[in-house]
Amino acid sequence: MSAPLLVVEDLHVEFPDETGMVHALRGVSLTLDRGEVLGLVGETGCGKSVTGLSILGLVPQPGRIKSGRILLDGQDLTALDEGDLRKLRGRNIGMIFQDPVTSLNPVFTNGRQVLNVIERHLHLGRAAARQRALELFVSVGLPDPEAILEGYPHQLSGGMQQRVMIAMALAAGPELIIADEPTTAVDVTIQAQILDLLLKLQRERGIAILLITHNLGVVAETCHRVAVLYAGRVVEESPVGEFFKEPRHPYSQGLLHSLPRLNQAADWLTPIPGNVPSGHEDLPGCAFAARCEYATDRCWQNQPPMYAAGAARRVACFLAEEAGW
Amino acid sequence: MTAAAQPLVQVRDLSVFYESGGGFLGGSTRRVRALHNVDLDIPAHQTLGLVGESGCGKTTLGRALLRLVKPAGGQVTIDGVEVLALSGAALRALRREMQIIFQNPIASLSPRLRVRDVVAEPLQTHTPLRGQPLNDRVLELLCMVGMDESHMDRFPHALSGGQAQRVAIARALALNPKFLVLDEPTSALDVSVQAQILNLLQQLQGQFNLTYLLISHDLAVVQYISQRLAVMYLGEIVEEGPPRAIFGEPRHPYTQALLSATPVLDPHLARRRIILSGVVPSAADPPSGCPFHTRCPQVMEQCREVNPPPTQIDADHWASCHLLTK
Repeated sequence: MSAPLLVVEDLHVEFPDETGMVHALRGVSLTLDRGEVLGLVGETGCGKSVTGLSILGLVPQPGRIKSGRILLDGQDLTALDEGDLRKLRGRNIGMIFQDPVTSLNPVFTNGRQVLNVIERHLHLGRAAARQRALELFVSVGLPDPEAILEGYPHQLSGGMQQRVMIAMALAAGPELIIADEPTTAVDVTIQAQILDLLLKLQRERGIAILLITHNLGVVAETCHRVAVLYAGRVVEESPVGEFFKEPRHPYSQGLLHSLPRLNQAADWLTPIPGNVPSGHEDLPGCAFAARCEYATDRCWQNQPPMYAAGAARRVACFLAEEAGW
Repeated sequence: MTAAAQPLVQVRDLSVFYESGGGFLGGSTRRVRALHNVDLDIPAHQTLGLVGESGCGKTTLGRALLRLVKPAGGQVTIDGVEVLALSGAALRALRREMQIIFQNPIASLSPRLRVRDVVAEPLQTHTPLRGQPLNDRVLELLCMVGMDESHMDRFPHALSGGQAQRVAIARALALNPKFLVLDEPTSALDVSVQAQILNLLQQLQGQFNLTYLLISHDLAVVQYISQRLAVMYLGEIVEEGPPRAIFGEPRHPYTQALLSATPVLDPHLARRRIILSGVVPSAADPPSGCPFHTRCPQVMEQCREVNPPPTQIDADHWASCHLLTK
């Protein structure tokens, strides 16, 4: 087995605010293989987007990476300066954000947005660059690519704008795409189109995708593996089949139990009691202890390490040790 | 439960148009057809779930029922009262009976009012309650939605999304309404909090015999809480029936596509995905014939010209599609 494409090791990110320090990431670790689709899930404020931004070297000021490493192909991205990161963004890592309306520049044509990426990273002549842009528009399924190339983002629907974003992300041929809630702003019939497109590109081009989402249904249908984030830490990393069949971490279980399901009548949902801890809190133990029905003194005092639970799963819970998963 | 019971809300032939464009700089105005000849019954003490994609008219329907937008034509009867004919004091009296919960709870509460004032406002407007009795009633309402005295003096920005939605529910219940429009009540909330709010809405419905119109794009949420389901496309209801029938045996091609596009929580479930091509046509220039014919995988010649009438499939299940009469 070859080395993973991306390794994130014990990543800590913090943001100072007027009342102290917000711990956005409290030691995130995960791996992503070449050509793999990893779903990064969690609720608002758990650190999903900050993880994606950290990999891109785009943690907004005054936030900073406090410690940890991000290895892409063995190269530590946290050690790079801004100039090197600029070369890497777009070239090695493509990005797709949630809202295509605010992510595309309204004063440039659709073609220009994609050409900017091509010109920055690939040394092609004008005609060849335009040809590549056209091919990209065809491969992301934009109808009438010639006309769309000359048109502006506001003339397109949300789904079509998202296809332009995907063409931009693909423009310089990256090995990794970070897609942060790529379908949250579109309707479900359009979501199905976009997810199908992402999977097709992943298969055809062998691109690895880090898919950041709050939607577990999207994870079940598109990802190979899933990492569950809670209060800035990964609490479970698992192949999707095993995860949905038998979630291990009590938080993962709580999430799945609180979701209403299609075709499955239930009289009552089981919510997770309580609230997510604030980013200001010091959490010496397990971040989920306050809401966990299995919590013991040990959980409050010590942070559970990542236990191996089966061949491909890892779970940050003392139950793994006690129940011998 | 008797199916023959008089529905609390009856909608007949309801149409709403919006004017867009024109205005200050002149130019031509466009007429957007937001609702087109909608018929709908909501049985008393039950929940009707209204699903559809953005722009299909579901929010407009909710608002038209409450007279928050003005319909171009049709009839709305709530508890035997013809809503569209009312004005003045009679309309104000009816407004006590019907309330709305919005999607974004933080934005729908005034940032300048404390929780106690948010909940007290409808009571001060519509009832003579003042002083300690008013205070008691506010606290009682807050307790009903799972909050307590410690929340009364907070401002909305100091509440979590779930807490703010609880306050919005307490405010809506203040005047003992019969009918609530829930417009995407949990779309802005995380799933663990969504479950708390859905359970609360269920519990309150039983406790106070409430009738709900639940507007949502989330089919699983709608199925969980509704006894009846209506599917909307481009301002028209294309299928209506009990969730069991609609999810088990959807008959309209749009319902089938919508269901197949909704991700489910089982990676092993092999499904035939119907991926719709194209986008929803503009409501300013709706297609002739069936509103869905421009995207329908099973479109026939007559669909382009004639809008199919509703066809009865079961006693309580109907859909508007030419395939059903073929």
